[in-house]
Amino acid sequence: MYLATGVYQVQPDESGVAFRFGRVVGADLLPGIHWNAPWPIGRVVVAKTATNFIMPIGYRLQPRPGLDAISDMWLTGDTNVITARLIIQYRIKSLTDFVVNHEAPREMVRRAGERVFVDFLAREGVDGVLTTRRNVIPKAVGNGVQKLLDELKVGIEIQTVSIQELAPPLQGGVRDEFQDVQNAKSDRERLVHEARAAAAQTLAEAQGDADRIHNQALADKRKSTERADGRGRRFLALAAQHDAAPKLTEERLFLETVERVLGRTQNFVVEPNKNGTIKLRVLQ
Amino acid sequence: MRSANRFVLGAAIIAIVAVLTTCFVIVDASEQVVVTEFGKPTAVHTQAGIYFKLPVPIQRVTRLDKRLLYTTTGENELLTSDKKNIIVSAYLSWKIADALGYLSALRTRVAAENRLRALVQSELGSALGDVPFSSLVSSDPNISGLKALTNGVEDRCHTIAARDFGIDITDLGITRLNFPSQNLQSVFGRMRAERAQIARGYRSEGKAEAQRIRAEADRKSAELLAAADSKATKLRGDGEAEAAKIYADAYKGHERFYRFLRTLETYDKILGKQTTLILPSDTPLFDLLTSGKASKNPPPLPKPR
Repeated sequence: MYLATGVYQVQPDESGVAFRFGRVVGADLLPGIHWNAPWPIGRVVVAKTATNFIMPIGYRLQPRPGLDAISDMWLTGDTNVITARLIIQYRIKSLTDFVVNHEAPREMVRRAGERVFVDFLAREGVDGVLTTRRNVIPKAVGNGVQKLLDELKVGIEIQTVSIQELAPPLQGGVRDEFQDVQNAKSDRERLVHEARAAAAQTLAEAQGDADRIHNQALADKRKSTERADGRGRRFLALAAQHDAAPKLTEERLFLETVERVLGRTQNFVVEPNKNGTIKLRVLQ
Repeated sequence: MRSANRFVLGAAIIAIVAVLTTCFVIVDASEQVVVTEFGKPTAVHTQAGIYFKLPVPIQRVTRLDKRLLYTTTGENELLTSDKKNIIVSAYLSWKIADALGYLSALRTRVAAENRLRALVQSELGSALGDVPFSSLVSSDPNISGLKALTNGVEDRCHTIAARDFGIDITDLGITRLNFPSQNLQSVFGRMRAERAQIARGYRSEGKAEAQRIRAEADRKSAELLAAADSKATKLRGDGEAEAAKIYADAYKGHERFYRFLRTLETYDKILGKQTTLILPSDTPLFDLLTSGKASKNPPPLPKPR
């Protein structure tokens, strides 16, 4: 009857550690039915190990009075202050180490996380942390914490580290100013884009003007030569007539011109004196 | 009397069993046990197991933790060598390495934690007082001395704790490093000013770049137009030269007739509606009008100069 009280079960998501006279006789027991010497000779610890546990860094999941508040403000290497909250997910890798080696293994996850993150940020600039180096944080913190926990042999394995919040502080309007830097960056892009568009238009217009000038010049050139050609032909035609009948052609041309000219001028015909002079008196 | 004897016998058996159970001590894997005889330590059991000892009035046990223990210092406001106030928190992992030394120096966990906190605070304070703030944090990883400072503090605390308290400090880490809250407002002000400057920089950069782009476009278009103008002038010149050649070819051999024709054209051009011509009646033009006979003289030819 007494010996039967030593039977116990380890559920599929659990692990167990069995002690006899204080010594570990069954380390990291697998799920199933087990027996160990009952109290006061033996002692058994069974706990869930398949579960992922969560440890917040930079805040508490449930703030309770009596526990010190945890600040989410951190100092960066260029002496800026940022707000950051991380979540570390971990599982118990070895329940034996977890139970036997450290008084507060879970708290060690928190403190190791804070320590590694403080150290990481002390070597980074705020701009990097918020942009390009942001992706590095989970891995850097996860590896650093795992290394510390392994040295202490607390039987914990870090699963993931995720960033809950990583931003300039909301206090004192700092976040607005950081946002304004982003706005200024896009303002710069916008100004440059606008200028490029305007430049493209200016150039297109200039190209159009240049084409127009070129075409005009081509037309002018053609006009000069065509006109010269036309007039040359006309002259040659007249010259041919002239060659055939010089006097007649000259007289005809002269009379045609006189006709045209006298047709539009105001003409006075006066009787010349015997000596061929003309006396004109201007009447006023 | 028999019942009285039986009672005495029963009491004696119970007393003997009770005394016998105190003849054994079970040491758990997570603890260590110090056995004392009338207050004087006689044995320390650090390995888990069951051990024999003399019964209770003679030998007693004190159970101590064998696991790593954990202590935080809380927030300490400390000064760097350049008189900057900073908040530093740290944690310690430690264990009782020398149970007897621990017991004689400290006795209780509370006393141990108080002494450890005081030790770490004073070591942190003096280490920070030796370095300027700028050597502590820096975006240049080669300068940031936080890790080295932590290691130095850990080493010194480790030595002192081992010597004075029988404690082995296995790990010491800084979990918080920040400005005190009363300084944060001025830090925020500085951050705002810094950001405003960066924003201004971006905006003026954008303006300058935009101006450069526009100016370049203006210059290029001016160049384009100038080139077009010069090409156009050349084209027109070519046209005129070609025309001149055509004229020259046409007029060649007919110079006199050309002059005659050109003079007529000139008359046609220069004598307009505003011109008043006074013609003598004996002009050959009027011969027919006055005499009814065509002039014997041909019309006067313009004389070449």
